[in-house]
Amino acid sequence: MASAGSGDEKAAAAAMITLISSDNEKFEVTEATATLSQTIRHMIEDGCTDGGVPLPNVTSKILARVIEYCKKHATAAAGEEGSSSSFSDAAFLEVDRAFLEELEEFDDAFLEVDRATLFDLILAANYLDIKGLLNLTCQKVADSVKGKTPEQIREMYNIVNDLTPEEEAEIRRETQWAFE
Amino acid sequence: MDPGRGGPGRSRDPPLHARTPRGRWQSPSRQSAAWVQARRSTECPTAPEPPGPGAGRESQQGSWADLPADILGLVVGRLPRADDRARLRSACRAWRAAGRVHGRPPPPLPLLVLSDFAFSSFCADGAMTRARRLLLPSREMAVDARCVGSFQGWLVGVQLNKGRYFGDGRCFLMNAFTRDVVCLPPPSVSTHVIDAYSRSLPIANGSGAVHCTVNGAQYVMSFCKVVLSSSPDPGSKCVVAAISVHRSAAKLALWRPGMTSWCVCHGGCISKFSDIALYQGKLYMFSKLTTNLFVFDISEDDSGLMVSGVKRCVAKLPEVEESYGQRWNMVEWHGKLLLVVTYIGGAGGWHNICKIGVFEVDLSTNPFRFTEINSLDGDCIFISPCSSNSFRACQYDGVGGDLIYFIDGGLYPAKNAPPFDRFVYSMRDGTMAPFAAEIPDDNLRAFDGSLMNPTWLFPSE
Repeated sequence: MASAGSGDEKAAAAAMITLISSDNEKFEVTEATATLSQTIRHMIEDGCTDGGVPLPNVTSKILARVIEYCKKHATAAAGEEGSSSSFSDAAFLEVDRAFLEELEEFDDAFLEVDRATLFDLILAANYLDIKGLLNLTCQKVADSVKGKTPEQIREMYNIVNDLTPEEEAEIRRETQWAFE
Repeated sequence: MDPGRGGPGRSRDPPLHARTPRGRWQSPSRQSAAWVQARRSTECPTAPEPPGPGAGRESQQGSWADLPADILGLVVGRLPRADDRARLRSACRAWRAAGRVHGRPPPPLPLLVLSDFAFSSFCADGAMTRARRLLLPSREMAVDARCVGSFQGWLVGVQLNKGRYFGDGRCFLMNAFTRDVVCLPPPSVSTHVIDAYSRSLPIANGSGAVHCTVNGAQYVMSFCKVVLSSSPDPGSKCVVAAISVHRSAAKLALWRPGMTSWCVCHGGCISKFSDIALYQGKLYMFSKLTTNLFVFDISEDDSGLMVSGVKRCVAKLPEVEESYGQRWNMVEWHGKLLLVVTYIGGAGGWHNICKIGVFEVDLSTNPFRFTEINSLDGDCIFISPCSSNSFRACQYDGVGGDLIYFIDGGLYPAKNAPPFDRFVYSMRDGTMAPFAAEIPDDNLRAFDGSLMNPTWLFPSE
């Protein structure tokens, strides 16, 4: 979280950051939401967010999705900090677990996107340095290729086989063991 | 562990910019190069460059082939199985290098290689895939070849001489993935150049002596387990140690690159070995009958390796009631030497294993101190007669931690030995469950019914 002490938590929550997408759309988000992005966190620390943060690499469509993710996970992070302080009774843990399950459901639903959007989300997560989102989207890609042949993978991701016959032969030699 | 989602200033894979775009969406794929550039530009805290023409397009459909290499590395790191990684990397040229340039992904789950070079992949859910045959470098090398050890991606193969009494005629290291081969001196020799150099070493703190010979004129060995100190890449100074049992006589053989023959040792504790391990430049041998750990100091000179000292260390392990036998496996874990003890009691089969004990060996005390541990910090151990190793399993979803996977029956089982014990032991609650039941018992036995030792293979990446 941006604030160190609990006293100015309110102030931090109220601090708003303006994010500007590549197509010049403006998004107002709390600092807590924005700082899930390490890239933006560093800009805030350097005090260069006045007048908004232009993100020339993120379209409004993708930025809206990224913000949706960050909002959800910023609340989760806040919840975790609260629970780790002094509350340790069972009821609180129960709430915590329910919230984590809800978060998992959110992530699953969040990933129900087409491959083009997934691609853009990965690049945006990488550019904005949002570790959780990058891990989530990379996991999605990894899960989708498990047990698939190179041909199936190419088809799935619209990849043109650009390997020369020599390279293919070399790959075959090196990875023969991995194929039926 | 995370291969570095570094700050925005982190340098990227330069070939990405140079590569010509491919794929169906040829022109938009340029976007990703622009991405990389622009990401760099954010390093400057003030005024990131204004959106250029075209950057504000509604959809930035880039080509998946142009996904930055370090992101692909993250994807690869989320594939627990080595064969899934190999298939992903066969999709196109850009993906071939995935994760090799930046931030190496964590090693994939191990494979189990059977004595005849058939192998199964260990899956995240604990199941073993159907076995397939690993191709040997040549047809000639495949005749009567068996696998007797591994180190990272390397397998150790030996080949029986024609005629059963002549021991192994050939020994080689083969990288299961790159298929590089390193040939070692033959384990059986009858006419070596006679410049033999011998040495007898009394066992310190014990009785008897170990006799070592380099360049002996004649020796016959049949390897049952071979261990390596490091990867045998060109220029490496790896040490290879082999345990041989031929006509019920045991020998220990040592080799390092450059030597034209093995340093062959016999006598003393070697005749009663249970397991060997190379650890921090020394060879450790556990004795079957006396629960003693023997430490071999290895010295090197121009003529190669030689044993320079053998010391006996009494091992005091807790006794377990009703246990009439134990098996020992030495495993390195986080730089520590562990001893995994299987206490056997009652009738045969793993259902009658009465306890599994895992001990950390403190080599700095005299005698060594054995401390029982109940956790592997979420790691796993894979045990097989020819190769055992610890593995950071918790990095993969679905792979449980603090588990020990056994497929073991001792290094030199009797001819009509019962099947290998195959089970997974949980260090957290001390329970055992079946494991690798998918592998038919017949696949683990030779034509004459004797057990063939399997080997865990741990690809480094």
